[in-house]
Amino acid sequence: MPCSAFQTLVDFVDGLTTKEERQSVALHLEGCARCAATVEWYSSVRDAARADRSAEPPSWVVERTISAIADAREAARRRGVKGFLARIKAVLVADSLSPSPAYSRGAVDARQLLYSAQPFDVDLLVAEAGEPDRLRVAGQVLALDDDTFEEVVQLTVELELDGQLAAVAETSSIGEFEFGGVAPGRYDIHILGEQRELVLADVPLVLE
Amino acid sequence: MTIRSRQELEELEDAALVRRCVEGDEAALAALVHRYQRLVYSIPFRYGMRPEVAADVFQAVWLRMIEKLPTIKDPQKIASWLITTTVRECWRVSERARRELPILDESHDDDGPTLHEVADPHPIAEEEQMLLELQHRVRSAVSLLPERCRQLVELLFYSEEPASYADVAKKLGMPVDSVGPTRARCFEKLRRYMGDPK
Repeated sequence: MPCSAFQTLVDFVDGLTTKEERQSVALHLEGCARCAATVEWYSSVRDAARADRSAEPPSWVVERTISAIADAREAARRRGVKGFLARIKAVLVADSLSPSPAYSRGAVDARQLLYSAQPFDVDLLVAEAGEPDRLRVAGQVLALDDDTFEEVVQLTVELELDGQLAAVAETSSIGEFEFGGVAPGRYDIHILGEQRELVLADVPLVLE
Repeated sequence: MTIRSRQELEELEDAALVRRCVEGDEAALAALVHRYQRLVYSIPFRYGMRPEVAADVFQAVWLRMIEKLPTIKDPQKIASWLITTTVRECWRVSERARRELPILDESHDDDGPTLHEVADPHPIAEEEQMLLELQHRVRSAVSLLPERCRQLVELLFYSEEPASYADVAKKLGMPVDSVGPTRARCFEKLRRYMGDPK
């Protein structure tokens, strides 16, 4: 028996053939792998397409992402890195001095800040350094979806004040870092790994 | 190879496009985002997430992609990598909401589930992953069809209710008798564009 026409096979799957055609095609399919493959292809494609409820993202979602990618390229270029450097902007999620209570006495001994740069958290502790007008800044980078410290070891931590590099440190085997003798001010903190840069902008390294 | 236009980038196979991305080609990465934007954006909705959360998941997945680009072993399987990464990102977002934002419990309303209600503790089933990849391949191939074929296939495949031949004839301004043969020719083209052997 000759192979059925493509249209007949498609009609067969869609139930558009006559009873006689149906019986004839069914019999043919039992012995013809080529036509059986066509029937299998059309059935799977039709069923997958009809079950497809996907939607295009709004243009702003795509544009925002493309912009983040351009940002990552620029970050890599600035650092002399080939490819992209995923730049994750951190968000301040907790500050022990905020909201400032009405009875606040002004200056305090220490301040804790928590930044979220998913999938990382960055904890900061700002404290007096034991010398006038100088602070100690200790911190830890934590990977939220990694039980080990693999992703937070030997990251470069840069303190930047008014666009100028003020100090550099490196994270320890558990993601900790520390700066001593820091002049109070609002700093940008860049935490750099091989493929990633966490940016903590306008961090209040002050105790009031 | 020098790539001159967006169209040329769009025509590259996944592996070639990913290679250009690894080299730091921003236009190639934008083309990769456009190619898979629908697939990635749709997954959070399968877990019942809201549009604003889906938008954050979308961005996080592509930033993750940038980080992992040089280590992706089989660029031809980028669709599979994106599906797995997006599902993981959905779990991560809902797990984080569960851990840190119990207040979301109280904000529950009729607009949809809270973030932590949608977490699925199980990895995506292989069958579901294959279905998502197939749906992506079909969509991509349909988009390459000539205009009339594309309209016909969309009416038959993507309408709320599959259109009848009479509906298709009316909407496309063609005789009812020619719908069957035209449809068959369009599906043959679709099969070729999907790279399926005859």
